[in-house]
Amino acid sequence: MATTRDAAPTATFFDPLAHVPDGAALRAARDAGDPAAALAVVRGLTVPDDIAAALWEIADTTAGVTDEAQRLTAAIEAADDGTPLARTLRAVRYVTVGWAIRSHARAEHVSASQFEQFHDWLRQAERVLFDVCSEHPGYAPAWEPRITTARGLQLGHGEARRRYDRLAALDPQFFAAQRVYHQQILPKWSGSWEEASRFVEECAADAAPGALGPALVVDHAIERWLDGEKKVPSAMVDRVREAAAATVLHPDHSRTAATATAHANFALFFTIAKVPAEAWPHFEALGNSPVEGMWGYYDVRAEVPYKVQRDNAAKAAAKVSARSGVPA
Amino acid sequence: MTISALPDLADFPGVVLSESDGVPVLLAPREGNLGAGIVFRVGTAHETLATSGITHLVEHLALRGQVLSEAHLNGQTHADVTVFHVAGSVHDVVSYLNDVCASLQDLPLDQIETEKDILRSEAEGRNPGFGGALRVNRHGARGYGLAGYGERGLDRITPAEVRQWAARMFTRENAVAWVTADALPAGLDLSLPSGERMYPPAVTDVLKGTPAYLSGLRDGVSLDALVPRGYPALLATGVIREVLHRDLRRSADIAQSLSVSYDHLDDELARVSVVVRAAEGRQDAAAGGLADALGGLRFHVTEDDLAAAREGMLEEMAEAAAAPAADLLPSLAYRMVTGRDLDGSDQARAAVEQVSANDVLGTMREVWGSALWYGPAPLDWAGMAPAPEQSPALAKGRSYPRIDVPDVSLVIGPDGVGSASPDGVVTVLFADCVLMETVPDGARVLTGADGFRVVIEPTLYRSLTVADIAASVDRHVPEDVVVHHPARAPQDIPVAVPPKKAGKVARSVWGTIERLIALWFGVFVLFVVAELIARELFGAELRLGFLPLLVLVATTVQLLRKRHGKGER
Repeated sequence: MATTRDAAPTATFFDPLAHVPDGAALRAARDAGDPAAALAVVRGLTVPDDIAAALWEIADTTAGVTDEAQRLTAAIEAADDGTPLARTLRAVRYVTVGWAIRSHARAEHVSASQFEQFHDWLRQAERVLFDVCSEHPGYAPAWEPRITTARGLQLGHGEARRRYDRLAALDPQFFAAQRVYHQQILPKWSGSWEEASRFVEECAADAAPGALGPALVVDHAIERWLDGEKKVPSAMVDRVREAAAATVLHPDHSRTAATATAHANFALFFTIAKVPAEAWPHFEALGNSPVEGMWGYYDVRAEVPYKVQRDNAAKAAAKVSARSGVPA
Repeated sequence: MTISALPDLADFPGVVLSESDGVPVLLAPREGNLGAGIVFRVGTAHETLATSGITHLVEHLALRGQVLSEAHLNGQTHADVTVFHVAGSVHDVVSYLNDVCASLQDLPLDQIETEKDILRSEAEGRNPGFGGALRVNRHGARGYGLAGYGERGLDRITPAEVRQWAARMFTRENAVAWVTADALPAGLDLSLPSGERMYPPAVTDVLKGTPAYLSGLRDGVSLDALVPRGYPALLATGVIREVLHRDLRRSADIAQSLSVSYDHLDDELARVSVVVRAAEGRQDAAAGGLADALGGLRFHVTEDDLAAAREGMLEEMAEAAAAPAADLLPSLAYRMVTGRDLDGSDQARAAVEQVSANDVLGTMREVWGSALWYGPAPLDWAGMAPAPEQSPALAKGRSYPRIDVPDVSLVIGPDGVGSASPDGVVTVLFADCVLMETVPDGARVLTGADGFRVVIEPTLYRSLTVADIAASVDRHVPEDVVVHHPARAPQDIPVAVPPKKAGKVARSVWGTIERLIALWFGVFVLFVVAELIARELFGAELRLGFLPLLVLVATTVQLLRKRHGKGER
């Protein structure tokens, strides 16, 4: 019997909503530009990672300053019924609009006016989130975007960490938040590899059995590789293999939207580590509903290498199982 | 004021209210040494910037005769009161109080310069710090804002002013005394001039809306807020302390130390202050953590936190109630002279018990809404506005551009002075000027009641003369707010160095056109004159044809190449 967790058929290649419960309804609401309907679906979600994935996806549909984008912003504002969820969506929308203006270019390629508008949007977002967190301090989904606003507004590592700690006290297994905070402390955001590495270990150590905490090492390993590390060290491959076994492949693992992201990143890691056979179980788990994860960093047209590498991985895995005598 | 108008002290068993020479005296016996004192309702916040330091000066002068006494004695000038106190034998106490009162009526004004020097050296190394910045930005250069300045009036206060201040402020109607004895000691003479009870210092406000913030504090974050005074506010202070200890210390190692305090200002208002010293490297988290904690208290005051705050207060009250009555005298005297409630411990206890979480929540919203923050970085993300850094308008008058920074100018007009820069404008109106500092070389610093300052340096502004300043500024500022400083060392007088014009700027298009016109005109005149001379003197005709034109074109091209050529960057 189909459950809400089963991937809903999708039109776009990458679609995180495919892994959110009631994803089809969410997608329909998103495509109709109807945030109120989307919020009605999100209201039924209970896992913070699912809520976060849904909110960012709804908010990030058309960003920037086009008429369409302005219509969506207005619709999201109109759908704000004062609940913490609707207010959080509004704030997340402001963040995505601001970030679209800033662009993902390195700071030296962003103009002063872009930065000014970017900061204005983030401040708007932060004011909404500040009030939501004041009024509903236990509402974890509102704390998650505050880690991102802290980064964009350059409130400092100490402040970002404090926000992460507040969030972790509410939900220590909130994987999207761990990934966002890990970004904050990377060298590209004036952190350091040592600090980021310590955090990765911390998340692994504090994880409940089957929880995604240990999978953060994949983000870290891919970031190092993107930073110019020529060859993935074999010790790292071992570590990531263990992480996969302890998380997405663990019998106690419970699936959330973040599971799909973790699979996509595991697949990417084993691809760049040149062990495609090990990437296969992760590609396979995503089936016909891949999510982008960090593939967008790997290539701007992420879809193309994803397909190529998935085929490679399938072949490599078939070869391995043929050799060991088990039918593929 | 007569004794019968004084509050009932029935709630303070063992304390008796007596009177000596028209001064109310609180009495309660204790074992051993006697303690005594007299408190006056005058403090630094009653002064103006031009008289700041005058109360402290009076206090020092009044104690000058006591320097050789062996009794344990002292005097203190606070923002709202001045206290003289002593501990010793009956004889010590009587002679101290008698001497202080006598001295206040006949201050040793010949010692004024010596005492000013002592006060100046006491002030050295004392820095108004972030507390001072908060005061100045909230209150301006008046009242409680003077705490941000130091005793600036010492450089101009005259002996006559000191005498007048003492006669007006140190009066029997403006004092309450206490002695830890069951009866007035023999020989006590508290004769003081007659006057009137002073009002609380005015609570001025120069902020254009709150919550507001200042940034640039390095060690942590601090704020002050003005709230309706009373038990809910007192308990709110305790609740804030509970919450901050939990959020910034116990559950997170963000604060190295923190303090939360409550100060009574007048019949309506109290000041709640919070100071958080951040743990090493956690300044940004301290600011964010404090904002989140106080932001949260706008919505939630838990019964547990309120109970903890209440318990702390009741403990303090029980301690005070258990202490001998004599120990209460200084604080009772303070409360009487400042017109505060004299609730006994039972009343106070009942009032504390009655405060509800909802009452505290109301105060928390006042704390948030009235706060002035001072943190390491801007706090606009939490919905606060920057504290004003500019005056609402620039003074109207003649403008003098600054020689070394041409986009800065000084304005001197009939109503005030101002300065304008790309960052904004600052104005001090003569009518609002609370202090003007002068030096013989002509420089002036004018401070307005709102705390903004305009500095006039005659050497820095084009066509500004010392005579202009005397005629257009000095004439409008009343002498009683003027401080005359001695001459500055020559190296302390700023010298304006006009900005160097870059090579490229010199090669302006206009410069080139001017040169070309001069060249063509010059050559034309030269040839006309040469032609005339040749014809008139030598009867010859110069047949130069196109030659002059060719020369001119060639020179023009050369000039253009030289000034705007590509290879000369």
